[in-house]
Amino acid sequence: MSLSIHYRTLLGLSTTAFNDLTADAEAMAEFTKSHNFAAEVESLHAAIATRPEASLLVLATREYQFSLYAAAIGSYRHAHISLRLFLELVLASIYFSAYEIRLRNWLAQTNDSDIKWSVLSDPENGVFSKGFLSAFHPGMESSGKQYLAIATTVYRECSEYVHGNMHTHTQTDHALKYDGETLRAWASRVDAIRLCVIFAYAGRYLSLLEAEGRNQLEGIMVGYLGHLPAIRQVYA
Amino acid sequence: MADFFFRTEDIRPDEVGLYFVESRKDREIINALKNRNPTILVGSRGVGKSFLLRVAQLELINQFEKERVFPVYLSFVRSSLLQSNDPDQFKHWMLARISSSVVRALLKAGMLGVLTKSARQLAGGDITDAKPTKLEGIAEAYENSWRSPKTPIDGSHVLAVDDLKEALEDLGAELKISRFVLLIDEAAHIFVPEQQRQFFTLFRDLRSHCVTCNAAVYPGVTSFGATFQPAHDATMLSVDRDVLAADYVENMREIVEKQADAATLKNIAQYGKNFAILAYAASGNPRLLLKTLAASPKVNSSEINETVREFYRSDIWAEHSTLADKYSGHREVIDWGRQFIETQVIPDIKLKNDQYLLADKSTSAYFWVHRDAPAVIKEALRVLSYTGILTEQASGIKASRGEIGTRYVVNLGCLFSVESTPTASSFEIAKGLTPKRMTEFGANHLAYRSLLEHVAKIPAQPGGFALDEQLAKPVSVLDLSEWQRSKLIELDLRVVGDVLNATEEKLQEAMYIGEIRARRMRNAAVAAVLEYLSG
Repeated sequence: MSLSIHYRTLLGLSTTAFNDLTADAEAMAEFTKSHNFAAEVESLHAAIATRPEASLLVLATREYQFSLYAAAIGSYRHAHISLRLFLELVLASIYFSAYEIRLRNWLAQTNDSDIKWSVLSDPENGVFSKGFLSAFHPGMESSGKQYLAIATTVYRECSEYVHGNMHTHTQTDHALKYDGETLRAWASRVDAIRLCVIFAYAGRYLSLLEAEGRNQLEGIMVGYLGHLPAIRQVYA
Repeated sequence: MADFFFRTEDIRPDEVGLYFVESRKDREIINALKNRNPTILVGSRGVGKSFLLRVAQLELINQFEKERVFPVYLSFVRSSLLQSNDPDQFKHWMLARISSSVVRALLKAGMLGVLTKSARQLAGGDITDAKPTKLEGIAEAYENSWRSPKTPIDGSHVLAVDDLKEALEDLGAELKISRFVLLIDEAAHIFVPEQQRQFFTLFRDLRSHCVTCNAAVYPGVTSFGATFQPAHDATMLSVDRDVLAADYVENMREIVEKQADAATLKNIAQYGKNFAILAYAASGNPRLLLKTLAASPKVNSSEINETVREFYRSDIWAEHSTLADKYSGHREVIDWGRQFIETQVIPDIKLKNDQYLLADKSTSAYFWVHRDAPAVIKEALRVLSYTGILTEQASGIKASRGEIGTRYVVNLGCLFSVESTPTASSFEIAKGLTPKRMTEFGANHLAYRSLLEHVAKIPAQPGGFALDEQLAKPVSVLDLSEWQRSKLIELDLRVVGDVLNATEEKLQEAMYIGEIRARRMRNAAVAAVLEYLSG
């Protein structure tokens, strides 16, 4: 078999996997919901586009697109790997926004400027910590612990795909093939990540945005975080 | 949906730390378990007693190099299987279990490699890590005794209490262990008062400068024996979580966060109020919360309504009703307990709460029972506390007309389950709770009648040998003052059965005995009969 035939076969399998996904109406609805999140991330980016850390959000969005694409063609491990990187990049952009020197070191690829999950998720100083939230959006700090728990759990679940834990080796690893159950599990992780990403973003930027930017995000903020009094207060 | 660990036994002992959510009260309990004074944890099934014992064990192991305090965890859960003809079987079995558990723990910790003389003495012979020791063999023989009750068991290798203390002292000196901390789980069988007495006697006798005994028991355990005095010989700590505490829901959520998957956590964040209802319904019991959350992972209203109704109307009672099958002698007491809660207590509280909510007033989940209520009624309430349907909240509480009694709180889930739409009103009920509002049940409430009538019939039923034996015991076995005992003799009530058959009016014929004292005397006799039924 020539190389080109091999890759055309893979493309064919990818097409079949996507066709099978579109034929599963319920799963397709979940996938579409996940797909639409990309547009929401773009709105989040637009509201802070002039800030120095916004470039990280662009990288994050691109990684999320890769995750969507991998999920669409039945490459679920890679969908999870990119999803985890998306979460890291978004939270890193929020973290760096408070420490511009670290952002510049990271952009300049200075030694020891790597993004570390343990730093982003640190209960005392990370983006969900009391100190961070009360500095940028007083009123949200009491909920930080809960959203940190979601972020930590979903990060761990995605990491299991990165590290290849046994349960992540499904039959679909051996051939590109649609698997409804894995697709739905991935989509539910997107749900969880969406919630903590929007929470962290709101905690960092919402109270600082001009009225126009704030109003543009009202649908997203109230839609996902309307159960939090601190968010309702912003839009009261 | 991740599988939840409902029981501590399912978690590896060295991993309990991963699931531990520390509250201030938990810390107090763990510190108490680690310090020199003996502690007894009291709590119904699933509230986390075993878990706290395991956390204390883990912390002591981690601090061992510095503190030289060595923890030994063991469970007496198999005690109910003891059926040999050795009159001291339970004591022998306990001593054998303690001795072999100490040796096993030391072996596992690598503290014992070369066998010291005192270690061999403890183990009743040679030990290796692989084979069961002689003592373990003896303990096992007792545990298997229900299969062939008449087979004699040679307990001669079991150390006497004083020898055990000495052996532990020697072992401590040889291994540079300043103190052994025994963490005894499921320590005293709820339905076997004799075992309770023997356990607490041993508990007290084992006390020494190099041994601290700690134990976890159920709320129904009340027979402490002749030498053990609850207030003096141990710190009694309740493991119940206070649903009125400001951080209650958050604390329960953190317990869930240690185990739930991201999808469930996301749902909890979005439906916070529904989760709070589940947390309140569990009434501080993590096992109930995890079970109900596993049944409603979407945390939406329709799931919560269905789970609260299903679980707290029927599932939670299943265990309670199983007890009636297991301990058929207690059937009437157990069944009456359920009936009392379902047809008296809950409807009454619901009716009041409906009115309170309409008027925007504080709500209730509490009821009060007079301290002179009949013994069988108290026994029924104890069984309900054991299964967690009730929690004894405080004793010595004054009610109307200055009468004294005990205040209980009903499992909130049971209360929520009778709401037409649990998600619509339960949160408000929970948030408005105040112990000040309680339904009162006096010493002679009409609701007690059906059970009292049944108990009155017990002596008339074809009784077995053991029952006759109980009834034929002299009144001297009853826990009464000399003065009270003399009054019984004055009335020619010489054996327990006589007292049981005597009406309260009859007791009142004696000089200077009022209604309440008559009731107390009769209670003591009924307790003796219940003891038979427990066996």
